Amino acid sequence: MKKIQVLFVLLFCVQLLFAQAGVDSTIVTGTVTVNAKYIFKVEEAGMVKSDVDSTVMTQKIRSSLSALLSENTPIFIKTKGQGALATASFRGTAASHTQVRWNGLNINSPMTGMVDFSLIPVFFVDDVSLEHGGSSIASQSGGLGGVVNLNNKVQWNDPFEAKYVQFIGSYDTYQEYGSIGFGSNKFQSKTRLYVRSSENDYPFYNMSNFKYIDPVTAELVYGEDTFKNGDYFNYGLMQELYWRIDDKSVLSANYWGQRADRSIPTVISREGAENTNVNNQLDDVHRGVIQWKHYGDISKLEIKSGGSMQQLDYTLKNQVGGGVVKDAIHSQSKSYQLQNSVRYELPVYDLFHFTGSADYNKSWVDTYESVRKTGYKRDRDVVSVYASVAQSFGKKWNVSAQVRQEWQDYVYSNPIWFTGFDYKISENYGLILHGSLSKNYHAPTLNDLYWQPGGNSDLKPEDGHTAEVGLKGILGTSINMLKWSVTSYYSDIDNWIIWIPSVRGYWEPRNVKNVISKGVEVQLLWNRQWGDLNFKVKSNYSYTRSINMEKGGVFGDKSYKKQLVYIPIHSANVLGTVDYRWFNIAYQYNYFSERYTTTSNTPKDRYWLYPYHMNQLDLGAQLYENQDQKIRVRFSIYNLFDEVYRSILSSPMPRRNYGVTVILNC
Amino acid sequence: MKRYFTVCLFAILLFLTACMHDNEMWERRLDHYSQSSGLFILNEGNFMYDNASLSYYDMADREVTNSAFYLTNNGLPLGDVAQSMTIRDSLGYIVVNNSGKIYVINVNTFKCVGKIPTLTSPRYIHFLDKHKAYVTDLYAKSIAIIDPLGDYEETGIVNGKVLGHIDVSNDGGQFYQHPTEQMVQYKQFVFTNCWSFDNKILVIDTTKDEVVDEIEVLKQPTSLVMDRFNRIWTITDGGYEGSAYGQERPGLQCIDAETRKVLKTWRFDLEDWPSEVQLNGSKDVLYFLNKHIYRMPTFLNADPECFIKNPNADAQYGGFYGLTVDPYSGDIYVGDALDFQQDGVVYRFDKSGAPVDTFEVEISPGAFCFKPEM
Repeated sequence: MKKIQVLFVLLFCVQLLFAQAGVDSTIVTGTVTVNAKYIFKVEEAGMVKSDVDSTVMTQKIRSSLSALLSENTPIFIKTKGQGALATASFRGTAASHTQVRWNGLNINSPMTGMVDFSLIPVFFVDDVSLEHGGSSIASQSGGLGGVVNLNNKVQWNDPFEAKYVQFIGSYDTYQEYGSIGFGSNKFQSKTRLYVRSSENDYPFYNMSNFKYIDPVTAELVYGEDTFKNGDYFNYGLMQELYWRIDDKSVLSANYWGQRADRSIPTVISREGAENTNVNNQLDDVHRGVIQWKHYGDISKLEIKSGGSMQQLDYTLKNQVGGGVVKDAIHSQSKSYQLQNSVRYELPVYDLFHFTGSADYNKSWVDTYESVRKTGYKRDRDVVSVYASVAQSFGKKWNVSAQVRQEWQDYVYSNPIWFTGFDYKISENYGLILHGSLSKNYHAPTLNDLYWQPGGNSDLKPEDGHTAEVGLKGILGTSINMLKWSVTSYYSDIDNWIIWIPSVRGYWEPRNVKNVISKGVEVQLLWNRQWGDLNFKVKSNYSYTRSINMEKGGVFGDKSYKKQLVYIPIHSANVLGTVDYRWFNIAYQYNYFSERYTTTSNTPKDRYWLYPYHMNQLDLGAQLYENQDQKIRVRFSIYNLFDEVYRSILSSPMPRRNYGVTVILNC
Repeated sequence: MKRYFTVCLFAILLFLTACMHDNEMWERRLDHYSQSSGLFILNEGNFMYDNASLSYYDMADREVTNSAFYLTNNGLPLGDVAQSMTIRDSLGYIVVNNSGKIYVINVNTFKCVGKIPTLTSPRYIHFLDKHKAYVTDLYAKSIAIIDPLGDYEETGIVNGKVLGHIDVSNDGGQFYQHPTEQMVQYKQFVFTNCWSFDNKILVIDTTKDEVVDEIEVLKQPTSLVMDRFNRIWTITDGGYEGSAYGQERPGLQCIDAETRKVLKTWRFDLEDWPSEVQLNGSKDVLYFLNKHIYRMPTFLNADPECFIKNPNADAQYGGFYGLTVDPYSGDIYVGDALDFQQDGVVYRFDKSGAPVDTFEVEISPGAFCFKPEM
């Protein structure tokens, strides 16, 4: 059945591809031919960048970024389901190796180095782009997997714009999003709000707990159970202000604040006493960034200053004697960041491009667990300078060289660098060959260094060297466009940090592993219009081998040359959309191959996760349209084939479920 | 164009069937029956992964059966963090810490015959009589009094129940105390060590089900045994660097069960981390882990000697983890959890320290339980 289903999805794509042949005669006049100039840019020579298509952003408007990235990019997201912690693995790397920037402000936690993508609503983002592997040093260090850039965009021409999105879904899931924007071509303001909550109490067949033993047959009898403690309640506010000071300068200020209050599910085998093992996590975040952009005749100067405050409270409570509920763990972690940067870009036609930047960032962490009375209080300064030159040679070659030098707490670190090329094979077919070599590094997080107990201040930074080569192309016209890319990469990462339990009973981080991460990324975007009918297919495929190359030297260790845990070797996704006048269909398919949960890749079925096939169908309709005023409604079926599955061990996921989205624009 | 569109929609309806066969793992069966003696190995698994497991080692044939509980119980996972196992008559009681329950198995067939749920964070079980046992707990601030058998004799099914609790809270204390661990009994008194952020051995009068005394020991007593001379031995880890509770040199302490006085203390270096104190069958030789395996006769004038060196002691990860001594043959078994994310290894030595066997078990082999011939 699995093969048939894969075949069906391929068939679907092939049908769409062949479909164009039959209707090529319906060419609409006034279309624009696309060619290599759209993807042959001197300043991006050798770099691998991709973005999430605007149609996809619209389709996923009520989703979290975790769903968007997992379903529409090569990034693998590890999560226990909606509302739960969602971390990224980009090119088979660790969660802290994906750096996330919002309007140029890094939003990774200075404590853990990670981002919880479940807490970022797509509604708060206008543009998502990825810098893969070594290309990410253009933005910052630390992105051994890459960088995810989230940006807000101003619409200078909109005097007034408002949007309201409501979602009602299974398991008491309610989401409300609203935005209002107004202004002139000198000043714009946009305010966005969201509230979302869910009981997330879906039924599942619990094979980790039997209900009773049959007194006659002595067989264990199982039954339906309800997923507990998966509930969440999140809300947030974003405010953007843009001021066009003159024709050459823009000043902007962005604020993003949100709170996420969620329970953390216990294992499904738990049959403990009532009101015991009650876990809760509260995340508060405030971020702000002020930017001044000045456009010279050909140059661009950008000065940016931002800050963030993140507070994470985690409690584990148990009811003890006399009905008293006691905290067994109560940790409060606060982190603050200040980030400042100056960036100057000087392009000379399409022939030469210089970029220089300087950054000064400071982080503070104050964490305290009040039951054990333990914690740490530390700060870190990072100074970073960056320069990039890119040069075009003839009409076919673009070459670039970049270097970034950092001082962590004023200690010099070895420079990181990137050098790459683009070679235009064909102008008309928009065919480009690209390649690069780069060095990057990732500094240990403050938790890695100072967490109590276990923090290891002797940790070395993780060092990565990467080689990449690929082909990309774009062809067709604005109404029949095919954009594609194939990139292969090879990264050798030394001093990979993992947390392992020590004989002392607590976990501690060590520079244990050498990891080779190699693979292929394929991206495809095809867009076809026939009059009122618009087809779009967006697809990603990744082959990821992320292998431990450290022998360990311990008898019995079978982790050498094995895939890292929870990283699928194959992953793919396809989003196909069909728009016809007022009607819209979207079909989303996601695939991950098996994931191992042991470093030895033990093939025992208890330890591994079955290959993942997930299908979603959306049926949308525009109920009303009058100039800018629109009312749209969408009915969604999630887990279309009613799969029984787990995304990680001990986490049963919901069966087929439904949702209705209403979108009002004016 | 509409034709293709219709075909696609039709195909969707046609293949509206699931293709992930995650539930295949539930269809597992193993029939086992053996009355001979053996060794159960509890593989703790990883916290929050529900992947604890039970291995069984036939000492005579040197054969190991992994996933013994899972395979004989139609794919039922053992749960989250298997902490300890104790056998009484033909029933094995497996305490599954983060699942908040105790599974009861027939030790000859591994078949689950019942469970005792509604515990908080159970650690060890100690039997007082057929229908009464104590279960220590990390977080409950109490020891559960349970009926470990229920109406098993009539029905063949254990529907164990929590009958009551012994309050062990120390609310006036600065830390979350008392987290109770292992138990030994002398006369009507049960002694239990309090490990995490604690330095007490509590004394419970089983006739009153009350804490009647406490013995102050060094910081963080990890384990507890009682020798043939009714002397209690505990080993402490001393806490960790930076702990608000403080850190001190770990120690081995001998306590007279009658007078409840510490008779002697042996101290280790600050960087040592001794654990897993065990006795041989005649209860006159003590074994414990401190990177290597140490032993000493249970005499006050003796000193510990390094008995079996761990060849992997300086490796990046791995090391001796769980320890036990065969009460009948004197053979020593020690687990190595490697990186705690793959199947571990158990080493078997004879009583002279000569290697006898090595076998692979499952994730984090941390506790053992000998099964006598039935």
